[in-house]
Amino acid sequence: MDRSALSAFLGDQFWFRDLSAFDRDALAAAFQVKDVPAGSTIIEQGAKAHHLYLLIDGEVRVEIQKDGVRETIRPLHPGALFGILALLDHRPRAAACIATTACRVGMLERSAFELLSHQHAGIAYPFQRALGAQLAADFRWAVRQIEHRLVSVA
Amino acid sequence: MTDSIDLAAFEDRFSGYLARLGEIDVAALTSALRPRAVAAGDSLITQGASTDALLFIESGSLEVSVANASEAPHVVATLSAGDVVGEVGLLAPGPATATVLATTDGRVLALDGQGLDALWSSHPAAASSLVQGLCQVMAARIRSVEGDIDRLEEHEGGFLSQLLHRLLGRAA
Repeated sequence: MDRSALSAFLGDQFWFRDLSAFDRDALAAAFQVKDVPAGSTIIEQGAKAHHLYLLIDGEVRVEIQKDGVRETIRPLHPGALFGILALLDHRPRAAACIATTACRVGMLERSAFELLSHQHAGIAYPFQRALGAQLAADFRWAVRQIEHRLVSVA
Repeated sequence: MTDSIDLAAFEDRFSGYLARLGEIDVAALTSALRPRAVAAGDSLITQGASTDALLFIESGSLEVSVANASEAPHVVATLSAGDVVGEVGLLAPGPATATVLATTDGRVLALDGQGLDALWSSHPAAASSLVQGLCQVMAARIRSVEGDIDRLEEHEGGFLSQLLHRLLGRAA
């Protein structure tokens, strides 16, 4: 996938639709695109975090391993940002992310992530809003899971 | 109660959310906020109803509860001055995850999507820094439950309430 195709993909994502072509190309250039085969581990739970990921194509599942048992907690679809927590709080990866199908992902290095977060506001704001929207969706999902169980046991 | 906002007190009270904002940014933010007096019993956010307002609690006490149609609401947190609620709705408008009810009289400072857009137009760095601060808070809350989100069916109500408290209660 060349840079202009990734730039076009970014332009289809809600928070990046208003970026100028110049800024969108700059953002696209910051991502390294990688194709991963089905079944491969993209993020390992407990590992040190070096990248933020953008799912461009395919399906990824988030898994948590506890007491030796692996459990899928949810699937991710194209457009999703993942691997955000460890980049924000500098702690080990909270969960594993596995390619359910063959996937194409965009990888943003930590240094580029930091730079984008403190970049001139023209790029930083849509980038923060995209992160915020993803975190808000993750948050809603977590509350819903717990609420659903709570009201059925209450 | 007047409509003015004491800048120094605001900065003091909400320092956890304002770490990345300079003095000018904080001033710009406060001018984008709409003060709202609340009375005991007022419902500020209703679970399931669409919401897009971030509320900075200046005074008073608020109760956060979750419920389904057939059961009594389950209180999972109490918030007071210095707490913030509604960041999820501001960053991704949609049905609220919980109900927020005032249990005493007080005052909140509201920032809705339109207010955030206006702040972005006039003071881009302030808007960007605020969203960054909110992302940090949400990430910390999600992180606090992530290890416990699997196998929820094995847990009892008390533990589930505790998880909701970590998500919806006072920011660490």
